[in-house]
Amino acid sequence: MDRRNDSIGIYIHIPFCKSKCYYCDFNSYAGRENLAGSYFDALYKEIMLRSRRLGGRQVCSVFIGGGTPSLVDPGYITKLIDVCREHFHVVDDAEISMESNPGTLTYDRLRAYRDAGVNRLSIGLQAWQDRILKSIGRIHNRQQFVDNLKAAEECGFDNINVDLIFGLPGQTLGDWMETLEAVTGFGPAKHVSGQSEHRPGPVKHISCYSLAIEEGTVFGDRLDARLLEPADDGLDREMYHRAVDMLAEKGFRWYEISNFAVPGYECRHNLLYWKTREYAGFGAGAHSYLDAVRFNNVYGIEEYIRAVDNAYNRNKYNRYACGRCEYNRNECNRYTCSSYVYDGNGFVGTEGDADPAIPGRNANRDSGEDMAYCKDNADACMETAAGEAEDHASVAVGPGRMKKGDSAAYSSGANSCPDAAGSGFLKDMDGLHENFDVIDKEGAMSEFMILGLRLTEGVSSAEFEERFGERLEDKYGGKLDMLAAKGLIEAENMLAGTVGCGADRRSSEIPSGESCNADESCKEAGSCKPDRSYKLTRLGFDLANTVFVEFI
Amino acid sequence: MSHNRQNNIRNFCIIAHIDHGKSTLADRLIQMTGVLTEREMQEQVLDTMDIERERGITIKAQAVRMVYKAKDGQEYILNLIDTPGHVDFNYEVSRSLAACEGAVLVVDASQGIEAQTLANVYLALEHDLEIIPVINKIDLPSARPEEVKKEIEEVIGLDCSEAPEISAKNGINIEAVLEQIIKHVPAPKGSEDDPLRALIFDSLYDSYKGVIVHVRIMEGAVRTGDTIRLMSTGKEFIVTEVGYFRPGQYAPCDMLLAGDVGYIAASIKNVRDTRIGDTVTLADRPASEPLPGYKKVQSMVFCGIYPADGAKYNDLRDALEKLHLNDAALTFEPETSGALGFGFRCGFLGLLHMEVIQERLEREYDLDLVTTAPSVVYRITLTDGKVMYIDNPTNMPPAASIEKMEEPVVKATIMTPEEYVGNIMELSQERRGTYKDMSYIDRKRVMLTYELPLNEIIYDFFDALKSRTKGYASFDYELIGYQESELVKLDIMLNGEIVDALSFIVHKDKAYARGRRIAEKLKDVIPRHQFEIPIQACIGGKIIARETVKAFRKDVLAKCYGGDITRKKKLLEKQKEGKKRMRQIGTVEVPQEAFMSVLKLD
Repeated sequence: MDRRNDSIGIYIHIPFCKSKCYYCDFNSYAGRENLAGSYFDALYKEIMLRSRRLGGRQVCSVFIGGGTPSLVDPGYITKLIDVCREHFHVVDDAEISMESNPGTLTYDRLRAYRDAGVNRLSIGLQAWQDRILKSIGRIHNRQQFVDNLKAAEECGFDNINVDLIFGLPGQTLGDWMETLEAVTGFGPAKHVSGQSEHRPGPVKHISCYSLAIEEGTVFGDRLDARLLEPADDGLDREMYHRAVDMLAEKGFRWYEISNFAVPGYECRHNLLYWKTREYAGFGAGAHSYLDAVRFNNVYGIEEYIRAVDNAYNRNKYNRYACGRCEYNRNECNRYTCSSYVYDGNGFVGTEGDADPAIPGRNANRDSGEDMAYCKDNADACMETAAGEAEDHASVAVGPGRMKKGDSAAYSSGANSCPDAAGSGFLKDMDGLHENFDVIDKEGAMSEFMILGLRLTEGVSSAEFEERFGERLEDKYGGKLDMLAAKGLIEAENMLAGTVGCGADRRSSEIPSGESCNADESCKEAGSCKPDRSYKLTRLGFDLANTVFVEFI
Repeated sequence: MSHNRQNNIRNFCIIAHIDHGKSTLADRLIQMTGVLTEREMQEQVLDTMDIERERGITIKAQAVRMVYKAKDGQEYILNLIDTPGHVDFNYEVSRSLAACEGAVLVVDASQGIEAQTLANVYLALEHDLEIIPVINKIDLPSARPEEVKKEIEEVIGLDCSEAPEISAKNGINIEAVLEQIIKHVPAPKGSEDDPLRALIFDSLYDSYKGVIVHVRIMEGAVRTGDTIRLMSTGKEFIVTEVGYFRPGQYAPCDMLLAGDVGYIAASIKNVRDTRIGDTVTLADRPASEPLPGYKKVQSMVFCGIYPADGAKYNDLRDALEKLHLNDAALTFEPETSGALGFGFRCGFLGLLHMEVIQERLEREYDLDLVTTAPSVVYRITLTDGKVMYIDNPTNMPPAASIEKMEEPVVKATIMTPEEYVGNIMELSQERRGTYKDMSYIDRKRVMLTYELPLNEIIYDFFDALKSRTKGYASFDYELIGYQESELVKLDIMLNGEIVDALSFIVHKDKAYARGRRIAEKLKDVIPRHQFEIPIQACIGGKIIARETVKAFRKDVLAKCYGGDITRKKKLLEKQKEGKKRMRQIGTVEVPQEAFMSVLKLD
C-alpha cells in the first residue's frame, strides 16, 4: 500500500522551562532561556534544511511541545509557525497545537499565538489543589489556570486541552474527583454561575495520566531512597475508572488510554502516533518517523544547535532536486522540489516550471534543452567550493533517486541502511539524528497493533489487510484468541463505510455483510465493507502491557 | 641404558592451598628450564618441532615436560603435572598424584598451613609420594618462614631443614626448588622392556584426532603405529601419535618410554571407550594385570539439571558425556519432573564441583539450564527392613513406611584466627554440628573439628564461614558416614498444586523456618499474574507456611507519544525476554532462576 501521499505531522520541541517538575523526565532544561535565540535560529534552519527532502508531503498538524513553549518570547513562536508554512505545505485546516503552562498565558501572548495560527492550546494544569501542585514541583497555582483559561477563551481559543495527573503522592480520590469536576466545568456542559449561559466552554479535550515514577526524576530519586510510596494500584485504578465514567457523563468521550475529548475534538496530531503515521520532529531530542525509519535528534540544547549549524554549513548551497537555492534565496526562488528527475546523468525537469534552479556540478549543462538554468544568478550559483559540490553529489544521488513526490517509501522495502530508504535526507543531517530503527513490514504490523489498541476503537481488520496485504486473523489469530480467553480483548463485527453517511459507522448492531440502514442512499451506494475490530476490554486497558507484549 | 635414562627423569606435581603460589611457581619453573634436551637440539628436531607447533593444538596446560641442567652437570627431564586445588576435587588431585613420584608442597610464608594444605598432603602421602616442602612469598613483609617451617614439621611431620625459601613472584631462589626435586624425588622405576602399562590420568576430546589420553608410562614403551589395548574394555586402537607436553601444546615424538609422562592419540572416536584410571597396554604383548585403578568416588551432592528448552535434551546429554570424559567424578542419570520435563540427576563431589559443571555446561556448551536445588543421598530403612538410598526428594517413600532415616555426615576441619572461634562455633551449631576438637596450630590460629550433616553445608556454608571470619577461615571436609536423623520432606504448592522440582528434604527442626523462607523468596521471584497466587509450604499435606502473590491490577503505559514509541517497544521486548525465562507450572509462570535461587537463603 502506497502511503507516500499521506500527510504528515510536524512536532517541534521547545526545551526551556522555568524549573523542573518532580515527575518530569522530558527533554527539558531549567534556567537556559538565554539560549533561546540560538535555539530558535537553529530550529528555523533545521526546518528549512529538512524540508528539502520532505517538502512534497502535506502537513496536517503542527504540534509545539516542550518544556514550556509559552515561556519564551512569543515572537519566536510566531516566526516558527511562519517558517513551517513557508517550507512545508501546511494544509488550510491543519491543527496547530501548542503546549503551555498556567501563569505564562497573558492576553497579549495568547493574541500573538492566535494570530500566528495556533488553533489548539494545551494547558498543563495537572491538579486542582494548590497543595498538590506545590508537592509535585509545579510553579503555578489554580487561580492562574482559571485566569489564563478565561483569557484564552476571550482570545478566541475554543479547542483547549487540559493535562491532569492522578495517582500522585498524597492525592486522595476526593482530590481527584474534585479536579475532574472543576475542569469539566469548563467543558461542553459549562455553566456560568449566576447566569443562564449554557454556551460550551473552551475545554474540549482532557488528558488524564497515571503517574509513572521515572528514573532520574526527583520522584525517582525519592522512590529509590524509600522516601516516597507509589500510589497503591487499587487506588490508581479506582481513580482511572471513575474518570472514564465521569468524563463520559460530562461529554468527554474516552478515545485513547489516557485521552478524552468532546467528539470531533480528538487530537489530530497524537492520532498520527497511534495510527502509525509519519511525522517529522524538529528540535532537541525530537523524534521522527519518516520513510519507514524511526529516529531522534540529539538531546542536548547546545549539542542540537551545533549539529544543525554543521548540517547547515554543509548543505546550504545544496541545489539538487528538492533543494532550494539558499545562497540567493530571494532571487533564485524559481524552483520546486517536485519537478526534477535524475536520469543518471543529471537532473531533468519534468514539469513546465519556469526556470528551475541550476542543479549543480553533476548537471549536464550541455544538453541545454533538458536542463533548467538559473540564468539570473548563474555565476553566484556555481560559486560553491568544489568540495561541497562533491559532497552533494554523493549525498543527493544516493542509492535512491529523487522522483517527483518521492518521500515516504513504506513499501519500497527499506530494511537495512537508512539511506537505502531512498532520499539521503538522513545523510544530509548527519550528526543531528541518532538511534535509527528501521521498521520493516513485520515491525510495522507489530506497531499497528500495540499502538492501535491504545485507542478505544481498537484496530480494524480491514485496515490491517489493506495496509499489509495479510489478514489480521491469519497473522495474529492465535494471540487474539488467547487474549480474548483471558478477558483482555474483545472483537466486534462492524461495517466500515468509506464515505460518511452520517450514521455511526461503527455500530455493532449491523450484521456483517449488510449495510447500515441509516441512510437510503448509503444502502444503494454499497460502500460499506464488513469489518471486524479488536479492542481492549476494560480489564485489557488496565493490563495493556500484557496484551501488547504478545505482539512484539 | 634404560635404567640410566630413567635416573634422569623426575615426575612431580605441585600441591598447595589456594593462592599460596602454585601457578606462579609452575610458571617460574617452566621459565627456568628448557623445552628440549641437548640431543634433541643436536638432531635438529627443532625444525620438525616448529612445523609441529604450527599444526599443534593448544591444550589446557595440564602437564609439562621441562628439561633442566642441574648443578651436577647432568640433564634431567622434569614432568610437572598440574593438580586442581579445591577440596571438592580430591578425586582429580588423586589421579594426577598417581602419575607422580613426588610432590612439591608450597606454603605461603605469611599464611602458613591451611586446611587444604593438609588435605592435599595426606592425599600425597597416601600415594607414597615424596614431599618437598617449599616456603613461598618470602618477599612479603608479613612473611615468617622460620615459624612456618616449624608449623610444617610439627603438624605434618615433614623435615624442613632443606626447604627452600622462595619468592615465586620475584623469581627468588627458584633454582633451589629444582635442585631439591632432583635430589629428593625418586626416579621412576619401571622397566622399558616389560609389557606396556600406562596409566590414563586425564583425557581430552579433539574433533580431528579423537580422544587423546594423557598417560604416565609405568612400564614398557609405546610408539606410533602400535596397537594399544585399553584394559578395562579390551578395545584396541592403532596409535596415530604419541608425544609429550610443552607449555600449552602437544609435542609429538616417536615413542614414550617407562617413566615418561605424555599423551597418546589413537583415533578413539567414542568418548566412552576411555576411562580415567584405566591402563593402556599393547595388544600383541599385553600386561597381565592392570595398574591399580582409582577407588570409585562417592558423589556427595546431587541436583537435577534440565534443559530450559526441551528440544535441547540431547545436547545436554552429549555435553554431560563429554564433561564426564575428563571428570569421572561427574555422574548423571536420566530423570523426569512433572514441572520441568526430561533431564538428568547429576552427582558431584561437592557444591563447587556442581557449580563448575553448571557453569561449563552453560558456557562451553552454550546450554540454557534449569537446575533444581542440590540434595544429598539419604539412607532410608523401611518398616519391612528394606534399605533404600534416595537422592531425589520426590522418591522419598511415604512417612508411614519409614522405619529409620539417616543422613550423610562429614568431618569438617576449619582453620581460623583465634578471634573468630566464637562465630564459627555459632555457625556450626546453627548447622546442627557436633563439636569434636579444637587445637592451636600456632599462637594465633586454631584448628576446629566438627561433625556436620552434609546437607547443612552444601548450600552456602562456605560463604557463611567466610563472611563470619572476614575471609580468614579455611575449610575442608570428608564424608565419614551416616547418622540417624529426623528428616521430613518439604513440598511447595503453587496455586494449589505441588511442584515436584521444588521439594526437598530437611531436618524436622529446620522445616518451619525453611518453609517460611522459601515461601517468602518465591513470593519475590514469581511475577504477578491476573489472579492471586497462593504459595504454600507443606509437610505431608500439612501447610506450614503461606505467602500470596497479589494479582496485578495495573500494567500499562499511560503516555505514548511520538518520542515514547521506541522506548516503549524496548520495554515490551524486555518483558518478552523475561517471559521466555518462565516455565509454565500448571497455571503459574515461574522464572527459571526460582528453582535454584530460592534455596540460597542465608
